Amino acid sequence: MRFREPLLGGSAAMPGASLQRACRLLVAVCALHLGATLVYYLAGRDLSRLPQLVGVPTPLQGGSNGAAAIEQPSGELRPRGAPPLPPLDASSELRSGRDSSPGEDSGPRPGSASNLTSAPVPATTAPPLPACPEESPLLVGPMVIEFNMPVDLKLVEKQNPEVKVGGRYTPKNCISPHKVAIIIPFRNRQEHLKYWLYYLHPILQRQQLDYGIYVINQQSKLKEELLSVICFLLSTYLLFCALHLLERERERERERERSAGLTPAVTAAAAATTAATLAGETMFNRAKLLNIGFQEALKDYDYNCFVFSDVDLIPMNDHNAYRCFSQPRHISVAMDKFGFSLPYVQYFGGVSALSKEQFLTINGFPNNYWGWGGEDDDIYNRLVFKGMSVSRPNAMVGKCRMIRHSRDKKNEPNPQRFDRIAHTKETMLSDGLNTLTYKVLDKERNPLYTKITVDIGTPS
Amino acid sequence: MMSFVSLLLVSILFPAIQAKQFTKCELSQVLKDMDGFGGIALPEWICTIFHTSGYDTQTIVNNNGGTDYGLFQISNKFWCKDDQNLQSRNICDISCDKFLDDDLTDDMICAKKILDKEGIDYW
Repeated sequence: MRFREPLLGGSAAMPGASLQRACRLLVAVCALHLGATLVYYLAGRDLSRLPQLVGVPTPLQGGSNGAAAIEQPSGELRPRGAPPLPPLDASSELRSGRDSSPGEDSGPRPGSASNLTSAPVPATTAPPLPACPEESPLLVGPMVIEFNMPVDLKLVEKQNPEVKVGGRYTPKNCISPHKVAIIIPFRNRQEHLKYWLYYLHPILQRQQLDYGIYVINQQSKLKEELLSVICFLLSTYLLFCALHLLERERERERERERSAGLTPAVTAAAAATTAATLAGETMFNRAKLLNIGFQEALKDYDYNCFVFSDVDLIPMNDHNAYRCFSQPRHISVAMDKFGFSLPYVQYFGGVSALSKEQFLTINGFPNNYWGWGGEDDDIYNRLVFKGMSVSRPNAMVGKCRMIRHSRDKKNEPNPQRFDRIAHTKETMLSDGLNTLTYKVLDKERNPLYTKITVDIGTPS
Repeated sequence: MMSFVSLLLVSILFPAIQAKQFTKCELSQVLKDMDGFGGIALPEWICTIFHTSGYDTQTIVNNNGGTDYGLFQISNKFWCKDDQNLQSRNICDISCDKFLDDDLTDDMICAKKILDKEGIDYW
């Protein structure tokens, strides 16, 4: 494709051979940078949000459509029937168990058909379901957890057919007293989320919980996103112009007057790409995302229990109940990262569970911990100041695996955390659920989870 | 084009360099020398370091206009020298990025100096 007129006025000229080489090199580096930015951008960003950025009103994302757009690049999980997939066996066991278990399951199903023929009683009046037992009979105990195989969420969807859109599940054969919203703070960890969903959905169903999965995604301001998109387009345009000028120059051998266009164009392109990549990402704020998860989940259903889980923590024993207790519950007590023991007695990070009352008593979680660390210690302090204690499973049951990863960008250790933790008692009344402000940018109902993208502002 | 290729290679290799993540046991062995120094027992050192840097030698944190380096989070304001703070008093007479490697000998020497001058409250 060739333009007839040079777009930047004047015509390209080559003042000197070394400058020519330098310009070529710069353009090549810019092209590579742009390519890398493009790949990163497409991989990291959610393409289904693009219409919204451009101003087209989007209908609420259909579950499979949204998931399809995201999950396309992922690999396939091939069921090899080999040892690495015991949870898979467990879930198929669950299904066959359901089919053959006496009493609850085989009763109503074939029975209802015969009921209709034998007696003209309206089949809609099913007998009330019994309460689920204190400890689920479906638990398998220790499991093998590995992260060396790729996960395909479409397959996970098929493996968990009882899970409804938005990641909701209710036990079919009994009424569970545990209405659990599982809140996951999230930013740019799609691969970890896939493992989490793959392992946790079967476990949560075996625990006979009435649960929903909420992934709270921290997003930069919409304006900043738009700005980075504009910068990106602008730099692509400028780079194209620069390349075009170079091409034209190569075709013509004779020298012309130096154009004003080439070098500034390339410089502008480089500057614009830099701006695009730097455009706004604020520090990660885990606790604020959890607060938001609490509020947003309650809009869906009257959950009475909230499990707050990091996206990269998987329990190794399904006797470790992901539900609430009479005291705030610490679930990830024996992480492989800490040698399968508590790093310190007051540790409350990783995965924890608070009932609605417990959460409200401490005014929720702090909103002012930006960056890594401290917010879980602040939460521990809040519990203690309100006279509560931490309940834990034993170290065998509480074993967890953490998906190994390098330190996140924009989640560096927060140097203020030590000072802040020292003042929890004073700040907990003025920093928490009662001072929570945020904006919901998007709410996606995917087949296996609900993803709420929010703008949580910046550190004040 | 050759410079391009080498640049590409460097940029690929850079993230491949992993941090040294000590375990509690490994660190206890290495820090044996610090047990009891300045009245601070080894378990207290281990606990302090866990909360300071999580046993990660490559921890770098910007803190109040300065930068803290390494396992002990030693600051460039007074204790070591880096490009950011050329006027640093540099009491430990060392370049700050030496605190990011796996060799803790220099970190420990400087940490002892800090303990002498500022006490455990530095951390």
